[in-house]
Amino acid sequence: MGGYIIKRLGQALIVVLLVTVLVFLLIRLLPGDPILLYVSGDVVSGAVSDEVIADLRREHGLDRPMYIQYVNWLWQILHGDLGKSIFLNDTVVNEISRAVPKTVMIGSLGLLLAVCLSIPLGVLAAVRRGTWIDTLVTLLANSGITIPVFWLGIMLIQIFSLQLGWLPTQGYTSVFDDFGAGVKSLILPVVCLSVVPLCALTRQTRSSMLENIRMDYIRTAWSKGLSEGLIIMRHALKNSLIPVVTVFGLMARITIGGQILIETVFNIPGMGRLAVEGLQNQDYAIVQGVVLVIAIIVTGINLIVDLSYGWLDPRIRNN
Amino acid sequence: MKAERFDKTKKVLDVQNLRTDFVTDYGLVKAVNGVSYHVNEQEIVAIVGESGCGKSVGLLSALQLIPVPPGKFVSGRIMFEGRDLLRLKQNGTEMRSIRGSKISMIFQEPMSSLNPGLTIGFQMTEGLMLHLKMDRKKANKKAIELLGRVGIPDAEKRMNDYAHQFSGGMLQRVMIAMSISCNPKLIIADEPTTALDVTTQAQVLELLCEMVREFRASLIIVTHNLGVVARYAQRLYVMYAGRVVESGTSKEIFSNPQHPYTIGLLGSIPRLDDSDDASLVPIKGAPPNLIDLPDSCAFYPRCSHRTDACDQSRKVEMRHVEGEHYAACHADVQVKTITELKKKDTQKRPIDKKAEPLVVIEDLKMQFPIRRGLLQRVVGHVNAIDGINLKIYPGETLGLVGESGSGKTTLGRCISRIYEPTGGKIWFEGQDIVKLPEKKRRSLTRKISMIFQDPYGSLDPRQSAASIVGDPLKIHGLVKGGKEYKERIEELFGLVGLHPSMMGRVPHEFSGGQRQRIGVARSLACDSSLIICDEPVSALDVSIQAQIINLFVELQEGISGLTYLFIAHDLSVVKHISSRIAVMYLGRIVEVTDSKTIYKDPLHPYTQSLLASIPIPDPFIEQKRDHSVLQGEIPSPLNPPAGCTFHPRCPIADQKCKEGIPSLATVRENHEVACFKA
Amino acid sequence: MKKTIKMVVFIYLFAALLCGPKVFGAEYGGHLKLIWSLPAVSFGYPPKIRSIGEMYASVAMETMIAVDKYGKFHPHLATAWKLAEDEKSWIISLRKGVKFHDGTDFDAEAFKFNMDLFVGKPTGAFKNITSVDVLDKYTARLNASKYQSITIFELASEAYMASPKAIKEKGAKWAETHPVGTGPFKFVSFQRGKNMLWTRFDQYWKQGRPYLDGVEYLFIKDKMTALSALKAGEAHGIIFALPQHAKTMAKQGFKIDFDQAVGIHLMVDSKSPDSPWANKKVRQAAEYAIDKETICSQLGLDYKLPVYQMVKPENPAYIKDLPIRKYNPEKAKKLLKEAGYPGGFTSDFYYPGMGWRDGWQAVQSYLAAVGIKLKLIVIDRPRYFTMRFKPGALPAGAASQMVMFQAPDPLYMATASLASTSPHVPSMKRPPGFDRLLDEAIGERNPAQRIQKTHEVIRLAHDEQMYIPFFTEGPLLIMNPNIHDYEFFEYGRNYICPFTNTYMSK
Repeated sequence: MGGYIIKRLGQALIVVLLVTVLVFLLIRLLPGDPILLYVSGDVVSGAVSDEVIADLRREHGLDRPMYIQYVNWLWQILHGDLGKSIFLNDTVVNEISRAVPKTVMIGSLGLLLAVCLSIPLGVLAAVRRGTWIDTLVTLLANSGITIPVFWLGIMLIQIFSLQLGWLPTQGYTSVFDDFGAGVKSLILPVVCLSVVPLCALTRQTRSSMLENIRMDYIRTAWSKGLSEGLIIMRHALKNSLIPVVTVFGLMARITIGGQILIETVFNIPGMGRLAVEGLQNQDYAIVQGVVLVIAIIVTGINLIVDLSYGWLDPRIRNN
Repeated sequence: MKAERFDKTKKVLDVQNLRTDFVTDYGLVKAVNGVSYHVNEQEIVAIVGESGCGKSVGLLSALQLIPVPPGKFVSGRIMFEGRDLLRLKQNGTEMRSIRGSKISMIFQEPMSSLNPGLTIGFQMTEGLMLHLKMDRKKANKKAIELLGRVGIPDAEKRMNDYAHQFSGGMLQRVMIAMSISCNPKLIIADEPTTALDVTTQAQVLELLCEMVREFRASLIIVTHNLGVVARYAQRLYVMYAGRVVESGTSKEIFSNPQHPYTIGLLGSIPRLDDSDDASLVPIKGAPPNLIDLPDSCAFYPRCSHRTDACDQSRKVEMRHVEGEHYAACHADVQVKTITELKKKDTQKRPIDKKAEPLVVIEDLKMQFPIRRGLLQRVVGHVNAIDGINLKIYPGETLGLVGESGSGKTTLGRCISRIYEPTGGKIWFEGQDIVKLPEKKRRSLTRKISMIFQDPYGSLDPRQSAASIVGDPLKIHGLVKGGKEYKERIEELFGLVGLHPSMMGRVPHEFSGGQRQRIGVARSLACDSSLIICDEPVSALDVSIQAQIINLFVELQEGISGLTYLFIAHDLSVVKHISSRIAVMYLGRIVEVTDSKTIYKDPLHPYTQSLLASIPIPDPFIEQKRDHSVLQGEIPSPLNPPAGCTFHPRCPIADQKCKEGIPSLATVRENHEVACFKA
Repeated sequence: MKKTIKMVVFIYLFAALLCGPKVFGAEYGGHLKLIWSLPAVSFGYPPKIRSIGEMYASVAMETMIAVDKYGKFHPHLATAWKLAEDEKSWIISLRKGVKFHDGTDFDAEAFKFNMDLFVGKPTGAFKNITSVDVLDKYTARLNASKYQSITIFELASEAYMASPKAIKEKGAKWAETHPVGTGPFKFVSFQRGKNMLWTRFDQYWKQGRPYLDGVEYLFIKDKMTALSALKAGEAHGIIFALPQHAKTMAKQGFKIDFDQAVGIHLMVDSKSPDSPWANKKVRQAAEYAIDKETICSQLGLDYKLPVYQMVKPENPAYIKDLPIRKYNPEKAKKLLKEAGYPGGFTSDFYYPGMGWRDGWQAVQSYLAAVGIKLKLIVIDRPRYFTMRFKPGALPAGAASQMVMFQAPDPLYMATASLASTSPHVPSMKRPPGFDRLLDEAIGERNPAQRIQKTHEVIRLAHDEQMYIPFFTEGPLLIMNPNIHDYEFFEYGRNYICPFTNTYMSK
């Protein structure tokens, strides 16, 4: 098993590197010069001389050939330095370390909520197939998956913040700074984010359970006199989880990408917003840094999902 | 071998007039339609029937293991220990306390009947902890003990293994261990060995019966194999279309079958001890549709012994014949003995041994690479076939018999060029077809054709039957023009017994047997000289098998020069149809001789064990037979033993056998054996 | 005598009481919250304070001179300024008793320190200043290489004063995000994407001010979310609101303020010889063809105002009798025919994605009506900015959106955007003599003469139709009616703290 992990880690590393190269190239291929963009932000001061522009270019290392820029960037990473943002007047590491905790907090809570609700719901719907419970759950899951996240966010704000006044309309407060306010500011974004994964996971759990319930070994378990609860929890559930875990991995990756919408609607200065603004400003270092972080997170999720297969299905483990 | 004394009067399980229905989208299926059976103390009872006859449902009903929304227990009583089990709540505590402890079940597919995600040990201790209230430690100890009892080596270590790390035979032993773990009064085994190899089957059945005796339990065994019934069961019930049509002791029924269905079954199964000139007497027609079945005699449409007494207006009652023998038949059928029934008029056409062989296989080898790792590097090889020498003569049927891992399927595919052999030569009509260039291969596919095991998978679901059969005609340009094409197709259909009106139908509109006929017609369309039949009847019901087997025989008699290579694991079937038989073990041929000699005088120890493992559907003969089983398991082709591959299991092996590989040598006339001791 | 004095004092107190209640007693205090959407990048290190940065810097920091929207200058941190004897340099008198937020004094040394940050740096401001001398504690001298009238404007718009101690101890980089100035509010904290906080500076030099306890800017980028927050009462106002939202909130009684700080115009390629736009008549025709009034009222919801010359009507330099080109499609067609394009012509028109699509589409249809077929092409910001700076980036014969800040000083505006020395709009042909006129105007010491010369500059730009003026717009402010006396747009750009006199009523 150890060798397997090492192998996968190596693969993951290669993937991350490839992604960074790709992004590095792509963003530099975009038309437009970030330095020009930056200095042109202030129209009035007019004469921004060529020397200033050249200085800025040098400051951000943009006067060197591309491959040197890339190698420098890699070298800097090994020293914990992701470069400087052209626009935001701060190091990329600072920007990211401010943004990442928010994104990760909301993302992981959202996924956690989704998982905690979806598996019981899916199991319930499968075991009580054909009854009103099943119909209800299936209906909700199928419609929930189509709800646009943006719209949902705005609706939630309308109801819970404007009409009822229970929760703040926007903003993010860390629970470490102010627990009460922090929790309140988390509720709506987390709920909003969890909807799509919740529905997808419920559907998958249900269909997976349905399939497993028909399996021969479930019949054997019945014939041994085990109770329904025990059969579901011990025999059916674990085997049903592999496709669910796959969907979870998929949802986790989508969630990371989809956070930009949540962050926009709820005004949370997280990674998604950082990435989009970085792109709009053609802020190379920011974009590279954020993509690196995202690539690491995604490959990390992939790795965990792959390893969990081994735990869930012994047949894969011993192969 | 069977227990001589049992308490006839005490019924352990008494099923009375059970009716179980299924509500389907197409209508009401009366899966079990007024079935009564019982099993007494320490008795072995068999329930026999084909698929769909309701035997499994009848048994599952005893434990209320039928899912109730589509299923429904309509009426009847299931008496066990003085209680009617049907009155109990389906998954209530009482019912559950009986399942797995007082009545336990063994299912057909061991590989899928055990949870792949939990260790064997865990699954074994579940029942012990639940029913016998043991703690984990005690349960583990008992489980290890049980595993040892059923012959699992290294039981303690194996407790932590998973199902996929065991072979089928081993798993079935584990299932047996699980079923006896809580000291049941009754064990129900639903086709427990159908999925296993012949020698493994014998081992498992012997073990099962031994355990049953040791634990003083009763056993109900469900099977479609009358040989197994004859060997092990004291009484049997024959079921058809959801009803019991005949019941009695096995001696009573086998010596004097009353119900035409039973007679038909007995007449249609091939037996090892059939004489050379015996033919099979199939039951015409097909099993009925169980939807909305009327109450009258369901066998009537297929019955060849109809008399005026057959009143279709009323329900058939069980008529007492004698002793414990009952039959659900209006008439009093007097038939000839089964042996007389099977006697054929014509003789098998003798093989001209002086003719040039059609196929000569010379030292054929087929290796498959084993790939591991990220880059799929080749780390080893599997020798599926390891040096085969064989001749096939024109007009004969050569049977190829072997268990799993023997390489018989691989051999068939090498000859038909599905696989590219890695060594050796195959001479067909004088040409070495291994080295054949691409251009010449086309004509080869016409001369050698294949019929496959799976009648469902081997036909293109989107093509009509006519077009499937007619394809070879078009591909090889065997007909000129549309009219000739149509005529030829009609002719072929007639040859295989299909009505030409069915030409336009698509495969899913045919039954399994009919689909095999289409496959045969397709091969005939090519005008092939050699048809390789790879397990063509294993997937079919017993009564249909006979029809197809007879078809093969008829065709060969009718078309001169038609040669078959008949590959199967069922020696009884192979013996019936073949003139010569080759026995394979782990990639090599161990014995080749004609079909009569192989039964009367087998020389190779493996062949002898194989024959001993196959039960004959005649309890009187079975009583006298030697039931010794072959020890050990078939080794994996990945890791074959050195020297003679059979030596670890061979009762007469010695040092020489461990070192050298015996080659196939002609020991007597028309009798080749690969054994140092022959 | 005593009686008179008593009476005067009594009347004074009485008057104070009458006018005072609104500023004494219960109306002190309160924490003002405003929603902003623009990012704050550099707002504490004077040479690097630019455009948006000014809006944040001005809360805590102050410039030397205050300028109102009419272009009039008022003393602020500088109490007086006069030309030195060499008629180029300036003597600046500084206000006494001003303290920085960290307790240090504002004096000539501090002034010199800050000005030295500008001198000699290629940032664009104070180009003519060679050095700064401290004459005494509260007087300093700016030594100039030549006379430039815009120096005073620069002192008003660029010369923010930061505490030298803070910059010396913590460095320029830290100062960029930590303004330590002399303003009425002290900077507390900044969390990017979240908020910026200021608290009342008790030792502000204007006695009694400010009234508020603190100010908070909330950063909310999404306009819908901002509106929701405003409605929910989480903020008192939104700056840079959408016109539709402004209209909605106006109906609910909120105050709407808008200042015309930015001019949006059409810039055309008048340099390339083959470009149809090179012909003045064509450019004039384009202005006649567009019905700016209708566009601004119908589509702009009256928050945008049409312009016809370089400066707004409130500006003193506005020429009242300049014949402006109002909507007249017949005249447009005539001019086109005279120019040799009777059937019109096609031209690409570029504008950035964040531009006003509806407006440009309206322009397109008006121009099409006289035969000029514009092909609207939306481009991304980087490309848009490149086009505005790089010579040749604008394709030949094409046109694009143009932005000019309506500074109170038109000469400042012209130098920044229209002079040949300006890197902006390289494809715009500057009429011969324009630069000279501009230089003369800037160098003119006599105020009356300067106005004359300024008019000439404006007139030349107008006659030659250097660009096609369109409309002015500005940040829309939605403010809670309980907030009073804020001076956001009084001073054209936000050089002075808007909340010096602001108070909240209940």
